[in-house]
Amino acid sequence: MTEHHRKKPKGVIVRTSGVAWCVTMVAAASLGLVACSSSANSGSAGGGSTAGKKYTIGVSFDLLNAIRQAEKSSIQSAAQAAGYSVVFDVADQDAQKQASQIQDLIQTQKVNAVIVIAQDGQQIAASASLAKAHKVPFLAIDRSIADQQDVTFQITGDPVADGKAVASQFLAAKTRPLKVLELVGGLTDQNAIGRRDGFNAALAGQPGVTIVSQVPTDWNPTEALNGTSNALQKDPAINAIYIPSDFLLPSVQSALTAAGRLAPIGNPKHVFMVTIDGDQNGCKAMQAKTLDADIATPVADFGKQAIAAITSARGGKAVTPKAVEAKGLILDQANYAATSGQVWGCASS
Amino acid sequence: MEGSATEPSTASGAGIARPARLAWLRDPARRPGWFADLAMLPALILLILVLSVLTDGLLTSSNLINVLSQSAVVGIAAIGATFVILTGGIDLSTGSVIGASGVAGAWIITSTGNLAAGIAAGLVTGTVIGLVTGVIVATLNVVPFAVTLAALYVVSGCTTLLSHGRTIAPMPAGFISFSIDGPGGVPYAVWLAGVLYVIAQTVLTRTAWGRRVVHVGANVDVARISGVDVVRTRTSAYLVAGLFSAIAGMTLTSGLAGAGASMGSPLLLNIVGAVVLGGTSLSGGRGSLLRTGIGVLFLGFLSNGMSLLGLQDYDQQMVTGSFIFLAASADGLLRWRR
Amino acid sequence: MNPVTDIYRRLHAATRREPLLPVLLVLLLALSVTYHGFASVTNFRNIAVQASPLIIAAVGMTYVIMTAGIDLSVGSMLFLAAAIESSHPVVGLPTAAVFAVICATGVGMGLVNGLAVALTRVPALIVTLATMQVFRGAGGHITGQQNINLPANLRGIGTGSLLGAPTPILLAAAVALSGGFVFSRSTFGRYIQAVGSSADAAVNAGLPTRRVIAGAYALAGLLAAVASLTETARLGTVQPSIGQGYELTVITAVVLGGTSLFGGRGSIGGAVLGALILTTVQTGLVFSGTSPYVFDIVRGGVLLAAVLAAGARWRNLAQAAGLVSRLVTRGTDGPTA
Repeated sequence: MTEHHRKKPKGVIVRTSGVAWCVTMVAAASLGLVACSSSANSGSAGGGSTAGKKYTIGVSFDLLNAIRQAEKSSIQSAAQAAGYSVVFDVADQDAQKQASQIQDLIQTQKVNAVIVIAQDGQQIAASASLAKAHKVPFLAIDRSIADQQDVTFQITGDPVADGKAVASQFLAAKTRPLKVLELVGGLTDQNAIGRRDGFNAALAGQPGVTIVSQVPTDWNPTEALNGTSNALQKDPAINAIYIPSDFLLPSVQSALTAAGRLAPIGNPKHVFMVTIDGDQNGCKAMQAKTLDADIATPVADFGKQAIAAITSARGGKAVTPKAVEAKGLILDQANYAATSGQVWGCASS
Repeated sequence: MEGSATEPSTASGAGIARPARLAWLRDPARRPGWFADLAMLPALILLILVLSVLTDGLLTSSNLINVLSQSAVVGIAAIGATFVILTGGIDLSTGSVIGASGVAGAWIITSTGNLAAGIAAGLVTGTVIGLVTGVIVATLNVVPFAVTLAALYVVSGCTTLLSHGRTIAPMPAGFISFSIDGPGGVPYAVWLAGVLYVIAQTVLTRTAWGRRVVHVGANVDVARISGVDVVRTRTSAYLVAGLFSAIAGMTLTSGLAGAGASMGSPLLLNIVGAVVLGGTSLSGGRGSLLRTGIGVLFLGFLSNGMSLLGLQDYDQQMVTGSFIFLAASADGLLRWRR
Repeated sequence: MNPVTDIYRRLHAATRREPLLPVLLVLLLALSVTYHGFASVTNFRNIAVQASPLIIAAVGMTYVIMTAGIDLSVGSMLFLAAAIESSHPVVGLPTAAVFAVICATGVGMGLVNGLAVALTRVPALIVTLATMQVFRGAGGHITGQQNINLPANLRGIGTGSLLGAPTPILLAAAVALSGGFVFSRSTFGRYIQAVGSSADAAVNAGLPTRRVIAGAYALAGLLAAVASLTETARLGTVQPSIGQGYELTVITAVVLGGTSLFGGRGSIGGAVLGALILTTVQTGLVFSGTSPYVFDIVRGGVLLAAVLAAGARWRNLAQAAGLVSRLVTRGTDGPTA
């Protein structure tokens, strides 16, 4: 009898306290959510209906890193100048998450226009159709969308052309023979694939310039560092490196330094290097003359032209041209003084 | 006093009169199975209420349909994951199998133009991978974590290699509309997920196979002694997981209008997280599809709510992580007194 | 005595203690013979340097797995430690102070995991799955998802050398040796093995189980921070994608080394050898000029081979063959037998 006396209240208390614990924790977590959201909303339009508020643009990025931050600023400043407000979403390289976020932007948050950087140019088609069905202008920047029919406007880089531009830099180099180490970006990334294919195609059959090593990096700085060290070890005759994005440049520089081979142009140990994107590290390396050329992505153009296209679309005008391929701006040692001002990474942050 | 004589725990005690009708509620031994399954339901309801207050438009019918359709793929894959976890194992290769099945199916569709053949190819791919994984885990007695981790690398690598890393598109319009249109405005994909949940829960609770799965997970030695073919049961659990990953893969291909090798990898966290959040025990033997369904909806609403709130990307990660831990610890405390 | 039999006997004993040692040696030999330039001091030194952060993190992970737990947050801890190191208040401090702060951060992160695992009933997989998200989010918050270059004074730990050997190798060796020493000869190490073998028995024996578990995770956190210091020093920049997926690599190394995921049985030396083998395979792939697509397949294959060789019960293979043929010929699902 005394056991039951003790057991029952305890059981009830634990069960009740268990539920109470659950409730308290969810409530506490919600307070955290409110705190987070208020800090997020201070810079953007926040969730919910935007009827009656400013014209709102929903932006969906595939990921967030240095170049995406530059693209974000570019969109924000152009939007601000035009009097629009902006909501940003990032999809963590998950195509399905991006589709979900865009669905929320269009259907629940009722944004007036959508700008995307597509995780996958094929798989974004569903979102484009959704936007069209809701009469929401759908724009793409940086990464091209395969099926253009539902896209209002697109301004992208041209990865294949960028790859070819890199190849022509190598072909123009005086050193022969040129033995090239090619770093490969993510194997399922359309930009990486384009940059690789353009480069390989332009160098096919070219005498004097050979790709002696292709190393996968999966866009991971550590793999780039280790892979470069290994390739240099395997083939000390390597005297040129193709780095498909300059966010991997620091890794390559570290590998070269460790091998005692980081040297500026003019030094016999200099390794001919070309990269793409034009970030801060690329700019610094150009200044230090350890990097020979950087094919810079026209980040400022992306934001400006996208917002301009939205303004045109608002006015009911069809946007022409509908698809702009902004080739990368070639920044090399010869034109550095004249051109560096236009490169996003060279502008002081 | 009232109360049946056979229930000493409800007799007298502190002298507080309690109605006999609710006697079954207080005695864990007499609660129906589905009562424990709904342990996370209050947390889910609370989450929805809180989010609806903080955001505009969460509870509109169009947003609710969105949440369901956004959760369909994870939900379907989580069915297979539940069966594996019930046997006390785990399958880390789910994401890779989703990608492999989707790519296989999409490739057949684009090269032959035959939708049915493509879907069949996708389902077969996933099922065969599940069978191989299951055979290795069950017969060679190696740790599922390690084997399925190896499978994750191998399957993903093979799929990328065979597809050259490219996304396979376009898909037939009818296939794409499977994820968009449907009766009552709810996409067919969501109805499919719902039907699969009902079937799976029935199989789990009412078939001999389902009981064997739980038995093996609860106590493998006792199961073996009582005559259960442990090897065959475990293998079949992984085979079923492969099949459901394949169904999820084809559904994802429909939703994204194309298939890529890496499209399933980010989903693994959500799939395992949903099963675990719902309350299925990682050590096996305890759990149900009802729990997993609640877990899937929890993560779906959380993700949708954070998106509507405009939370920064890294803040969303922190919130998701915190909620997974909170929910798991609350559930653990609820079952503290077994 | 006959020096040859003496050497043979020593090798035999070493092999029985560390079955991976001959595997590594054979691998190195095969690669040296097949590829010109593989067998050089510089290359072996490169492999050792590349393996060093992995070795350091793997030692910590071994302790955790030995308690029958797991730590999926290693990669995120690596990132968060790097984020804090490169943040404004910390990066300007004198070098020794920075290292102290980061090590303390590591212990702190590890304790978050350890206390959660030890004090609540939440399985380690879930706890570290959650902290994996939380830490990475926190790191992203601190860095604003930008690239941050490290000043020269913080790079010495990765690029410098002491007494002729690169600093990372010395650090990894120190961690491995002390980790192994603590493991086999200290009370803490014995408690770890006891807790992992049977948590109930350990509790009944009166061991401070919760403190031991928390300690294991704290140690793993500390070593993750040390690995982070080394790796970011080598890279020179803190970037948003640092450490992503790293936990799987670390766990692969530990499992390769013979530590059982069930807990209670393991080897620090094995983890070190596992890390070295993984790194050697990676280097070998570059030397072989294999297509980039194949790298992941090889990694999975190596792990699978190691797991099968270590723990498989091959007599069950016959049962497997029978099972498959039964499934294929659609045998009826009769009474279980």
